[in-house]
Amino acid sequence: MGFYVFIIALVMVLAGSLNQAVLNKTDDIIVHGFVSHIQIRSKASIEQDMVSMYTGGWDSLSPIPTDLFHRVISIINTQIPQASLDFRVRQNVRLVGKNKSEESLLIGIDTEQSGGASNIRESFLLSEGFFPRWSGLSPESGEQMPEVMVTDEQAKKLMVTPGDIVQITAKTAQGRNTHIKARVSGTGVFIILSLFSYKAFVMDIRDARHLLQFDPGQCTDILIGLPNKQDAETVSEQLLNSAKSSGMDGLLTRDEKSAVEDLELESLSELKNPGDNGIKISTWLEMGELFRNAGKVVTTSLAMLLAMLFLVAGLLIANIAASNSLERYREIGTLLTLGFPRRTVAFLMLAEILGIFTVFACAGFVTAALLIVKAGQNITSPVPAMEFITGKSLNLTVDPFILAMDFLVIIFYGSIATVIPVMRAVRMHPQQVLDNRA
Amino acid sequence: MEEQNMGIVNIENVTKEYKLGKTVVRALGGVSLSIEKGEFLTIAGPSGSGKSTLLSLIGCLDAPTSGEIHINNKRITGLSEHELGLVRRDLLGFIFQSFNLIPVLDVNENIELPLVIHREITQKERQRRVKMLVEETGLSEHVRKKPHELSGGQQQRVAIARALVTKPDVILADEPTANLDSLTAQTVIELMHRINRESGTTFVFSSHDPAVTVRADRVVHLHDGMITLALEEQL
Repeated sequence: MGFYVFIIALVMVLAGSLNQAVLNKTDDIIVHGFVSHIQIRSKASIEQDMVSMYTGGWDSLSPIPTDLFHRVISIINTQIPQASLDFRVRQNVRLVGKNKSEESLLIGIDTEQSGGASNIRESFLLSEGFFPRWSGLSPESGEQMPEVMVTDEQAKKLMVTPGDIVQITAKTAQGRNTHIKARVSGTGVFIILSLFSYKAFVMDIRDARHLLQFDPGQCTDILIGLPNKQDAETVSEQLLNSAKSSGMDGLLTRDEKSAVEDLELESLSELKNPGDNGIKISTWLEMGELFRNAGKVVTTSLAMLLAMLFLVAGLLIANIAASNSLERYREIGTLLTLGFPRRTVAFLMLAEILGIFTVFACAGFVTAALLIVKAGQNITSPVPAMEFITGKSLNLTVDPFILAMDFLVIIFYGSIATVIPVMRAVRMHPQQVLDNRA
Repeated sequence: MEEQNMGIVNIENVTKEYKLGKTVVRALGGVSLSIEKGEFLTIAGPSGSGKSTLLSLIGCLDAPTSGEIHINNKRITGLSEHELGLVRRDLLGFIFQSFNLIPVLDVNENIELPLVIHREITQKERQRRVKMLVEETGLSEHVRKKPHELSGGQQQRVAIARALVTKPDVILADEPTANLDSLTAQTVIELMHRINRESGTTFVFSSHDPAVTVRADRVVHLHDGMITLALEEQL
């Protein structure tokens, strides 16, 4: 019985820790890697749920109008002084390698701003090379050539490695065709995005602006970071109210998310409305809902595994408790004969069983905690596909609150699994002890 | 209940019938018996004569089909299971043929066990009683031993001490020497007899061993559920 309890406790803690690691990692990737806590975009941009379409067709992205950009930044600076700001330039472009080309999402980041660069680094697992720099800072080759960081998948398709040259073909903000040469600084994997076969690559935001002929400071996304991600909803409301009272009524609105079925791949460009000058606001929860659901798949899988373990172990424990009660009929009968009330005998037996549960559950908890503390940082994802969610290392941690909850669950479970066999055992007639002459 | 000049145990025309399928088996057929306070009484008879059934009825472990039983002037027939449990707890002590000690408890703990449900008895008083009985039964050197570390005779002495610890009115012993060799059996019977003489506790035990029954004040012979002979003190 103790062995089963030990295993359940061990698996519960490890599963709980793994689940927490996955959910935390998913949230961190969404918040730090892509959308931050609050994201502001042009109303003309249509990109909702494109992730589910397995497409790299990001040509519906539009820059935020310059006047609105300055007005909203002013509001943020005065109303939310605790916020940190980051900017992105994103556009659909074509990457050309060695006689191969591929449609890709260009993500321009501020490689010099520690926050921005570290955000991307947290969501990009570098396989080879290094993160890109602004071409103004990387003139080693004698020419001011931008650097780009591409995914392993892109590198393989385009047949390039770090140091190779790629060509980027794009449409400028004014709608003219343009192209530029760039050097591949590094290759790697975007956590989560790769799960959906997204094709994105990264370069410095100033190089991206130059390529797309954006105005200085212009961007497609304003990312707002908050000290506490749970405040995102409240701060969004605050921003909307401030914009309203600042004469931006109707210009800054909440993003009304379109359902997947409302979006047809071929009509995305048509949905883009350059005439719409407004901007829209989204929180990380709204933006990352689909990614979070990917994390929840792990939660569901672990819950199912635990449910099966509980069911099987529960039956075995109930069976052992029943056998144990049968073996102890003489003891039970003796206590009843001596005048012990049945409920007292039942209580004593249950207390003994729960004592065993407590000892072995604690042993399981301690073993799991030691495993996590000693090896948690070095455990790699058990399933390769999970690397896209968790990263290469699981970074498991032990939460004392969850540990306490696990303990209560095990004790409750132990009571449920053993109460029926015990109650049946104490229903015996004490005379049976006299009748049975060993 | 009107108090009469009764013994510590009074059995009046008690019958006990069991159903075995459609057959009714009469284990006791109209037994009447009065056991006096301080008596050392043996119920003798061959296997199947009804000895254990009679002890079960006196021990409130079973209910008679008809007739009445009084223990210490308390009518026990018709009591609820809970009330019978209280009678067993307060008035009776039990010694079993197979000792029935709790394997995980040591000698001291086994002796103290019945006091667990006597909350009115203080821990100090419990320890005093246990210590006294340990000495009285010659178990002083074995107090920390578990039952499996003791011989049969030592185990039965623990069982005797356990039966005595609540200071019951009557101690019931179902063939207490059946699992012991004759020498040890003699020692155990001597111990029970000495306690009976010194404390005045009533002992009722079943046995068909003549070497044991010879120590009894009175021997009640049962045959086919009927008392056939009651002999007065042999010694």
